[in-house]
Amino acid sequence: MDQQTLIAVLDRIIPADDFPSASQAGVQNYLAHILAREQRHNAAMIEGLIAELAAKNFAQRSADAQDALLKEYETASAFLQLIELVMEGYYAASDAPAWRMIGFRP
Amino acid sequence: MSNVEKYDAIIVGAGAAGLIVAALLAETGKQILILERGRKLTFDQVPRDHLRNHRYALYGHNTGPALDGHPRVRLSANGRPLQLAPHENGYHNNAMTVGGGTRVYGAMAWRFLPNDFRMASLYGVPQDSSMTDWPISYDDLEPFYDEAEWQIGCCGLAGENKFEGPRKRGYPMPPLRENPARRVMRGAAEKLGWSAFQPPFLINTQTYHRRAACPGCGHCVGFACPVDAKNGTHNTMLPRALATGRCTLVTEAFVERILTDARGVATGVSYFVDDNSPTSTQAIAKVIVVSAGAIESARLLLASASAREPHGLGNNHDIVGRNLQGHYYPGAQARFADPILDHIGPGVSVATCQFNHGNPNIIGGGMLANDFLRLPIVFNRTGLPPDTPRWGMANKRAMRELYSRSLTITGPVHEIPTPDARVTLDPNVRDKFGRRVIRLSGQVHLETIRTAHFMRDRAAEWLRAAGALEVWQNPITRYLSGGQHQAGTCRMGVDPKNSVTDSFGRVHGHENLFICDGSLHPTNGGFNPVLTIMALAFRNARHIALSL
Repeated sequence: MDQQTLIAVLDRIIPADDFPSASQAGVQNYLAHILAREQRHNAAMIEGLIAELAAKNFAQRSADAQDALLKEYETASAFLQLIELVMEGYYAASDAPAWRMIGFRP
Repeated sequence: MSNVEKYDAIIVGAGAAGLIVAALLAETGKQILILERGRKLTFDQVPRDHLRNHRYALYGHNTGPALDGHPRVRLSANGRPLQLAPHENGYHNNAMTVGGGTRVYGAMAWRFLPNDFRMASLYGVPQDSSMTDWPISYDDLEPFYDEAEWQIGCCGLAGENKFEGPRKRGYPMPPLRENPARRVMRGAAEKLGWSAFQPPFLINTQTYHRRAACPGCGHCVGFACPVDAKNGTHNTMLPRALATGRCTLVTEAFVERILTDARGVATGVSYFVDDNSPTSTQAIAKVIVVSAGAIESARLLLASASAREPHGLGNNHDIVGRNLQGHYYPGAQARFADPILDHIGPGVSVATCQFNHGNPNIIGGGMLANDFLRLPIVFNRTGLPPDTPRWGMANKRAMRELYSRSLTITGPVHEIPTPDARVTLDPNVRDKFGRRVIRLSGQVHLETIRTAHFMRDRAAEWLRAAGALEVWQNPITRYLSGGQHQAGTCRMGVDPKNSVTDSFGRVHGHENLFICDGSLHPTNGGFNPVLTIMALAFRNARHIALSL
């Protein structure tokens, strides 16, 4: 998978504010892990999506242009599945920064 | 026959009921063998993995059974069999470990209401249902509810729930701490003229039996307690049983069948120890107590068919495995202008029994309460208002703003039993021991769905009265109910033609074979059933002792 494109997509799914973006929280590592294991059956589909976005120079676009492009994929199962996995990587990671962000106290 | 072990009683399943029976029998001087399919887990062996736990089992569980080698089959509505792993929807796993569900439960400690024991008398028998009264009343069970509350350890404030039946005395510990959700929802209930109160828990709010008080962590339901303040049978009754020196606990022991002699008398059990050894072990005893939960207990009776009882032990009238019930949980959610959560566990802090009975044109009803603290990923999946964008800054902002400002009101519907919701043995699929696996079929009765709609409306009404900015309702679809609250598959009764056991759990036609778990419940109340399972165990253990 093209890492530059992947990270750009992750960071539009969960952008940075005063708390980390998806990639700043290391969601790409979770993604690599889960796509090699429980979500192996979805790996090809998600790789296909990233390749398609890479071909459209996703990473080089402005944030607004990236969001506009992703909106076109909002009903695509590959993008919907990717969103699910990104949320898992961000909110379910042990002692995630996201826990402090929303107020969950382990 | 040198490897045949002999005991006074064999107990199959070290869960909510089995360990109570084990301790009480061992304390009367009996030699006990407990066979538990799961392992005995330390705190560190029950991981706090937010994607693999008993609250959110997306990729697995944090107790047994292992994901491979233990399938069940779910028969779909159109009759197609679907093979399922233990963590998948429709498998209806209850934690398989020493302590069973009590190891990871939320520990709500409800007594059923007096009217919960007489549903058929109150409401009749709806079409296609197997509605029936309990063979015992609330008054029969009251002394044993009391024993469960004091011996396992319960916190609460007696007298607050004006619908509760009479009780001999209060709780041994004061209720959990006050929180904002309770203040807000209590005010709303007052406005509506409803009675709302703090629910009881099998959780220490002060040092009790030399174990610590609850620290209020965010990993309560679905996880093991870090300070052992959550009272299950693993940390209360098991130590008592083992302290007698007369109780042997064998873990990872899968009981394949109950052995019977030519006259049909239960003589022992045959079991595998899960080390992939192909040979089974036999143990014999004067009394066998099956306490494996409503799904596995039914499986064991069915799998123990003999020439004398070809359809399974106690199953001459085709009732074993039928009437599987759990609890349908309808609910509504809301967001508020101000924070309503303090993020101190367990989270459930206010309840009402206003709608358990007496609802116009509704059969029964249920309790309503606010929910346990939600894991962040679960809130992301199920807690955001329906129009929230699923990605991007808007999603992140909603997570940040709404996690503290959202509340769910939900509760267990008193299900209408149906014989079609059932446990059988699958004719094709085998487990790692080569035994036929459980097949689950059927779905909840339509009256259960009707009650669910009624209760969901009450949940929404309560949230609106609390001044919520937005209220939305969780979807209601028809499915098979079971899960952690599984019950009903070996119902007790008076007449052997429409029940599996007598009112003490003794299997009809078998002097020395008992069931002791939620399987016995003819109906399952509009409450978390564990305190009732425990109370029945305290009661029935005394009776079982008389057989020894």
